[in-house]
Amino acid sequence: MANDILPILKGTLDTLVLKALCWTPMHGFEITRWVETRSSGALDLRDSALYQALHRLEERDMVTAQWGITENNQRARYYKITRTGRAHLAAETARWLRYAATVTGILTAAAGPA
Amino acid sequence: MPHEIRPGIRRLLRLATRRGMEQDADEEIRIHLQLRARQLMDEGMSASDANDEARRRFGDVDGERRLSRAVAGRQERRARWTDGMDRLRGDLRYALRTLRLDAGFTVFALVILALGIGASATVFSLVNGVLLRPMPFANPSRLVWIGNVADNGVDDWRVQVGHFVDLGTRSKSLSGIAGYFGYYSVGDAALTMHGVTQRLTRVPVTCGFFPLLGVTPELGRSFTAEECGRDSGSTTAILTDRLWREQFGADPSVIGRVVTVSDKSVQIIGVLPASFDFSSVFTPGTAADLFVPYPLSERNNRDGNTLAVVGRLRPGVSIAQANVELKALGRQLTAEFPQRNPIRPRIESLDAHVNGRFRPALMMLAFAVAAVMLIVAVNLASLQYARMSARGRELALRVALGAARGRIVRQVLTESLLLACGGAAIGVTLAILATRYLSHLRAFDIPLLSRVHVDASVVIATTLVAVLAGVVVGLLPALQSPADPNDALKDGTRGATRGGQHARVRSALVVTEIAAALVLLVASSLLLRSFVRVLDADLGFTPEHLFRLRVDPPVAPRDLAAATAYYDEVLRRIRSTPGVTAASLSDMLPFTGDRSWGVPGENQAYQRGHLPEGFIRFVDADYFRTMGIPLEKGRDFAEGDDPTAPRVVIINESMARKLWPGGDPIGQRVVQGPRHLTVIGVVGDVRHATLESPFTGEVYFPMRQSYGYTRVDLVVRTSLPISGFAAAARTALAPVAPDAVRNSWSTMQTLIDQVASPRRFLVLLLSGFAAFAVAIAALGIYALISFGVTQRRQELGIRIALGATTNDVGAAIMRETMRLTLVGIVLGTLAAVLVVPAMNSMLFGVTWRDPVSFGCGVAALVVVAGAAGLVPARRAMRVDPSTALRAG
Repeated sequence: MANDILPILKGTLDTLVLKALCWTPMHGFEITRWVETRSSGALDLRDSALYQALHRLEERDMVTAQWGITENNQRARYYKITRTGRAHLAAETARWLRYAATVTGILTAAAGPA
Repeated sequence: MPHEIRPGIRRLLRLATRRGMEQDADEEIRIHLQLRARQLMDEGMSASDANDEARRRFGDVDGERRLSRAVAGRQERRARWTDGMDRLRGDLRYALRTLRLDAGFTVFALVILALGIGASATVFSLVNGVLLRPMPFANPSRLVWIGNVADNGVDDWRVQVGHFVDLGTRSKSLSGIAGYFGYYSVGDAALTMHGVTQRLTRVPVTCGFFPLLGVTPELGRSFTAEECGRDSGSTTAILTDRLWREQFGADPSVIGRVVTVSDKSVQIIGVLPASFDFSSVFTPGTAADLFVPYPLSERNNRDGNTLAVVGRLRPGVSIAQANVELKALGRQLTAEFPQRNPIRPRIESLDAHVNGRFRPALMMLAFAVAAVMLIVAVNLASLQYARMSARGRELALRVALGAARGRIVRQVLTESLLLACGGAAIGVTLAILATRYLSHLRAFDIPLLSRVHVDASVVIATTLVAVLAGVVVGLLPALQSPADPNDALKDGTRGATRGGQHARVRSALVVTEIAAALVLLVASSLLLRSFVRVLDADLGFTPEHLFRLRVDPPVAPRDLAAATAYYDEVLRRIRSTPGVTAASLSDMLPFTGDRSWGVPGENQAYQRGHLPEGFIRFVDADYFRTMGIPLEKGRDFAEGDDPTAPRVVIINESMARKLWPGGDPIGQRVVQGPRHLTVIGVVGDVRHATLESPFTGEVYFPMRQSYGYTRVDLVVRTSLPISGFAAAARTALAPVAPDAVRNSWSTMQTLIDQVASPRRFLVLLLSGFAAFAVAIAALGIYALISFGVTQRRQELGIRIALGATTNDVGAAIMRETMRLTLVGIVLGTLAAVLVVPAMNSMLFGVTWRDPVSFGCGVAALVVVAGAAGLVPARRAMRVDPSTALRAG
């Protein structure tokens, strides 16, 4: 099982957080749970790393934060994606898909001279 | 206006979360850990295990806490900055809108601010350039001028070569001394290149002159001791940067080249840096072109007091100490060398020597400009004040609707600062134009004037003044903005209490303006009257219809006979030119030089150092008639007074009194070296150095008997205008004096104007300031009275309805105006009595107590204030009671 945990590639966490937020504003723990659920726990992710990603995104105006109340009537800091964030998410997603397709294509083709 | 609301909402939202962004950061982590633990417990973990696991999964809790606190702080600062900028933008927009709505006020405020700031910046540039900026030498504060006190205890003589050498070697307080030949004359050398001869000014300097000043040649080298020792005329020369550029095309290979200067071969050994401006420091208004060595030889020693001397103080030695030492040394040298002229050294800082004459004048201008700025600021404050009280209801309404008092203050301040900065921008532009104009004026004989320009320090100082003015102007009315909106709203436009208070403050401001304007008026009338007195001073000759032209050939005639032949031909031709009533020659016209030496009477015993001194002039026959100098006794020089005839001399009345008090000088003899000269005439006294200086002795030698002159001016009296005459004269002289006709004719009046120029400069500037101040003060009075009339329309209407005649109403308004004016005049007189005595040294023929100047100032203010009050008074008289009452 431990062998199945993947180290997260640099920069992809920010994109994942934006993806999490593009549907609805969430607080930090919700985002953590969202990533864990979607990856089925396959990504090696410290919770603090996620907050660092949120700080980065906030400083680059890709998310904004404000305090709100959870369903359980608890105070929590909610993050919301901005227009800049959405644009960045779209661009990063397209880039990632092309990158993955290219690498996959190479790795899965039969070996031989170019 | 959604973009105006948005920042407001953002601020509101942030206010809710303001309670410590740092605490929020901690809180967020705490909530996260709590939620994680709950999730783990839901999955079946024990409470303590769940807490540990939550922390483990989180990672570095403390690190994250620190990080998020830092981020929160950064965001807070950024938000505050954005809010500040939003608010500033809002204030600026508001101020611009208000200023646009009140275009009349805005334009007026900008104009007086621009003029006030422009004047300040110009004068500050002058003070900065002439007085404050160090001279273009190394460590200039250690440089001193070493004068030689004349017999009369006032004038400054040059220093004899022997004394110069001994002072240099014996003095312990000076690390070195150097000097230049004090009697070089402008244009006395001729440079011949490619067959063209050009007049140059050649300054002989002692060997150590440039090293002492700390000036190193840009190219080549300074003089060597060997070059300075050659007594047979100079063979090496150092060029100024200007001559090098203009005549040698800035060619670096010029070093070592041999050129012909005044028919002698001279090798160029160096080029001085452009920053070295000899003449603007030592002889303002003239130019120096090249420097040659002045040998400290026995021959030059025999010429008497020839050297103008500067020295450098040893480290740690004060000017007072050096003075004590050199005075003692002077007494010692005088006793030790009876064959030399006496020497009485007097030391002052070089800066004081060069600029001292102008320091009081420039300081006075600085004060004048401060007064002008005060008036401008006070006037604007008063106007702002009026606008604020006119806007009293609007402001009260805004306060009632919840506008913070601080915000209103800030908006008024923004408006004032905006005006001040606008005024400063225009003012600095004006100042740049004005200083450029001034520094290119050759007519003003002020040292270092050419170095004056508006620099960064001036711009910074000016902007500070403007901002300060803006704050003062803005703060006063802003603080008066209504404290209790209820009062103001009820008060309306007719209010008695508030309106009364406003009027009192504004009256005080207007009184200040009048007082300051009076001080300026008194100061400028004193100067103006001095100037008139100076111009009225008896010159001793008649400058009208008198023209002059420099006629000595570039290469001096080889002997007296050749010179006489040349000048005879020049005179013959010019005298036969139509319109010429008289013409003659002089080697030194009044105001053009200060050559003097001792002229003792025959068989008279004088105490050493008390030889009668006279200003020396070489003139030709008919000089006195041409100049309009009265011949009091005896006869004029004649063409027959040539080398074969007995030696003769003419003296002026002062000299006659000095030589033979109470006796008849005609037929007496004076001694000049081996020769004894008979006095054949006595002429009237002539001003020689400045228009203000007293008459002193003058001695005239005939040009035909001794060849002791280099430069020669032709003076011509004619009824023709200069343009017509110059053309005719050029045609007449061209065949004999082809070089001289290239010089331009000038009037004698030009020479007098040049001498009077520093004084005229001062009078013009100060009168300008005074006029400006009076105009602004008058506008201040007008605005105040006019505002009062508008406010009291209803009261005036009632008065008229109750039977007051329109004349009563007008008189009441005028009484009010005059009351303010008189209070201002009393205060202004008191201020003037305190300030004006400081300018005593600049006055001539009047004292600071001059009642006429005070009277004129007061009268001018009364008239101007009366005129300013008359306009609103007439308006008050036309108030129609029925409309005025209904309007209320």
